[in-house]
Amino acid sequence: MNPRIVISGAGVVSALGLGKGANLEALRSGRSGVGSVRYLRTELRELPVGEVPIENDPLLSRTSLMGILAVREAMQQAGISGADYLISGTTVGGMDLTEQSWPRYNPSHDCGSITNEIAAATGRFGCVTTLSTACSSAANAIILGANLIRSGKAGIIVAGGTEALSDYHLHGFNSLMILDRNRCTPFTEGRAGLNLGEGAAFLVMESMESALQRGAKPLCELSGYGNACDAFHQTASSENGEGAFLAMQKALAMAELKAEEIDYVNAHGTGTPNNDASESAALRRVFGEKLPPVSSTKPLTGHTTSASGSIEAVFCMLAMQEGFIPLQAPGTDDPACISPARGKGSAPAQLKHVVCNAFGFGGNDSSIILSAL
Amino acid sequence: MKHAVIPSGASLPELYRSLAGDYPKFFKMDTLSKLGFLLAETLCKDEPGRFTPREDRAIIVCSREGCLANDLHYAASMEDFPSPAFFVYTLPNIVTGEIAIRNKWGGETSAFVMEEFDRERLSELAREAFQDKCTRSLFLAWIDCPSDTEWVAKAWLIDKEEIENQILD
Repeated sequence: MNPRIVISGAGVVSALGLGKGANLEALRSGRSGVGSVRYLRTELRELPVGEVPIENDPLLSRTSLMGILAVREAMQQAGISGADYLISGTTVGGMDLTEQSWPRYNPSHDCGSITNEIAAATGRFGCVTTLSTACSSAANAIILGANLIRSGKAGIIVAGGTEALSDYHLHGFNSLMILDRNRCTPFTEGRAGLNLGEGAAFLVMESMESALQRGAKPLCELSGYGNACDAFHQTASSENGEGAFLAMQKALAMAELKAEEIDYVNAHGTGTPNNDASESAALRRVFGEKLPPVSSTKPLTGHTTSASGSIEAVFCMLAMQEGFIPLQAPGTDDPACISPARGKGSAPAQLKHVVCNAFGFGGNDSSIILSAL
Repeated sequence: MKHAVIPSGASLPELYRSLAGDYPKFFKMDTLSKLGFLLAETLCKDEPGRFTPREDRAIIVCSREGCLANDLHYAASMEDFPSPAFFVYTLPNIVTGEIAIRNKWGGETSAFVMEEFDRERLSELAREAFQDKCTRSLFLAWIDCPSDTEWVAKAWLIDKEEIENQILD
């Protein structure tokens, strides 16, 4: 019998603000944090980005700074000062600092060193590990943590992801011609692409038994998760959304839920023509005619790449706890896509089970399901 | 369990011609992906039912340097005009996607960066991969290529039944 896995703490920083309170307020009101470049040193200043409102530090990468804030908030809520594992998903790592000293290369800014910095600043961890699968990294960190708990290798896990903006990958995404010059409009006709963002979110995960034993309050359950490879292209998604379809299907099977029991899907919904069409195909295959409300929160935060899986998992948790669905701005639906839940701000809703999608370059697709307790 | 190694400095185009020859996309790949591609070719080219889509085989690639060699090429291109061809390979997990695409394997794909080759850690990752009920087979590799001419590249093809009693070579 697999143990039930619960979330007992969560922390988040995004372009919407520092901490769950600021993010919740913005999700409810529909306030977007995507705007002109303020902190990133780049010549690409005409592109809108979702920056976290913290100043640059000369010695610490923003990836570390944001990670530290999110881990602290999560651990404080869970009432812990350490854990068996700290698992962080990141791909950019300390590139924001590396590119400042370029071409002098400082080897201390790699992805793993960032997680070590976060660990040193936040608590005692039995093991510290870093996971990098592009934009599904944080979702996969959560999945790895859950597998460690299920296999009895760990009791309490802090897992999530953190990712700063860098000139390096802003140029890279720009070179792929998938950035929108305006605020992104996922699933909307004529959408031009995504906006890059940054942020961090971490969850404290443990078995229900562990939480109850130490008197912690479980916030919600991680009832299912799945990862699959699209096996189609390095940076593009397949037409029929095979990887996304398989990931959602696996998550539903693990949670022992029927598709119609899902109350909300927080889509990966980047705003690129290709992702949204592919994800729509996958959603239609999973849910058929009975599509639950679907929305992307990326017009608010930008695409926070490696951190998006855990940031949006926290958004799902907040939506479930507070009983609302984050809505997308009004717009013309693309007939090739699903129709997202639209309106101003948010709509009240009772949410029992929600799906959160995170898909990465390399065709690495993950879905997790959170359930209310 | 099958095991394959590509010696450091070997001619990758020559290996490609002897093992595959029918996949020109190979030449667009970075060295990390080329090595992953060729390790999979070495282990699976004579497998019955090759290229029949399957979801029960997972792919895990571990390394120390990730895709750093390619990252430097991309950084150099930023001086002039950022190259999308290099940029798409500036992720250490792209290699897992390349292997999945070539072989039509739709199972779990993961890429891990760690300080050094650690046999025990890799064995543990393998055991964890098989906790997923649908995973029956695993392509596990250690591919570390700090440059385009020097690397350590080895891989194992492991069946679920084998993992309990085996230690990786």
